Amino acid sequence: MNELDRIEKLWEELEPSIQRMLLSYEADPQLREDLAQNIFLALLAAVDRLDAVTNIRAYVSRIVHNIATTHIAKEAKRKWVELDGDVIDEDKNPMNQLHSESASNQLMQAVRKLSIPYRQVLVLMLEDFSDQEIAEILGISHGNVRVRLNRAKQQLREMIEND
Amino acid sequence: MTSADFLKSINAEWKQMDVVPGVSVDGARKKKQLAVMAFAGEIVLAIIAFGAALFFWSLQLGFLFNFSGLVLFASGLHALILNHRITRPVIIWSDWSPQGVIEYQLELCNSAMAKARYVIFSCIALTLFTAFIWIVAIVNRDLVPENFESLYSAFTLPIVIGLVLWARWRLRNKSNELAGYQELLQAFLAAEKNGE
Repeated sequence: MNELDRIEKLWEELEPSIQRMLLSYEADPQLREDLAQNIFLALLAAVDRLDAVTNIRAYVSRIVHNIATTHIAKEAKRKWVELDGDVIDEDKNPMNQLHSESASNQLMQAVRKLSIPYRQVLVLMLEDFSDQEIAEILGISHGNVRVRLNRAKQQLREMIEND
Repeated sequence: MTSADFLKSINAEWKQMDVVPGVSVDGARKKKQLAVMAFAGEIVLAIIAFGAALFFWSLQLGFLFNFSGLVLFASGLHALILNHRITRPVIIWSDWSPQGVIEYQLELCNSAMAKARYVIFSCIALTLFTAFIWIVAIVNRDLVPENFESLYSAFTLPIVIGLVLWARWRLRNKSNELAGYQELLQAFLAAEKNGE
């Protein structure tokens, strides 16, 4: 099996999880595809290291969050800014309205409103990672994971209940 | 609803999320090719500057030609070094934490802005040098070979205009990016502080 086949197989296995994580960062399908391609390339570049990795799912998730975090920062100022400088609500974008037909959209919209540090721990928890794994993926202490997770859950609950 | 019930319900909802499968492998390949081509383009520009410098030196037409060649050679060399330092770094994404990535990108962004400012400064220096050649040619025609000032201007002017436009665009872009990184870093630092 060559390198490309190996990464394609890995992608196939982890794709639902990767796509859900990306969905929590980016509502625009085109930009999400762009992000997915960057992650695919990053995995391809790291293919030689994969044999030494014990927890491949955590390893891939770390790459996903790092690339998506960079994307968020890059896009933060120019996204949805019209020529006159007015900021457009992301959820009013026609592309996103298509997605808003889906049942779980209320949850995703609430998740996207969380600040990135809280969003990351929550998304990883929803992807069934343990506190220890989340701490390793995000490079933070176990205690910090607990605190962020509690606040994220609290904020999420308030948002969903107030909607 | 208890906290446990709430978690259970969002967990189930999360797993049922509609996701569009598939990543364009061809798209990823094209993206990689574009990055390689952009890097190659910068190397080609530097090679053109080196070639022009060598051409000026080979003419052996005196101090101005030699000095102009030196300026071009130095510009090409400096462009290569900066490009290697700023546009070339390959991030091994798995080695970083999200906060570390943001700090690193912030540093790169500052370097890229410094590079853009340096380009503007270099363009000003090149323009002043071209003006100096014109002044010398007007004051003492014998010191400057015939048509040299026109040829030199024809060579440098498009480069200067192109580079200044590029540097201004780059500065505007990068300052927006910088603001995004700073904002995100603040959010990470606040979350870290709150978690202590």
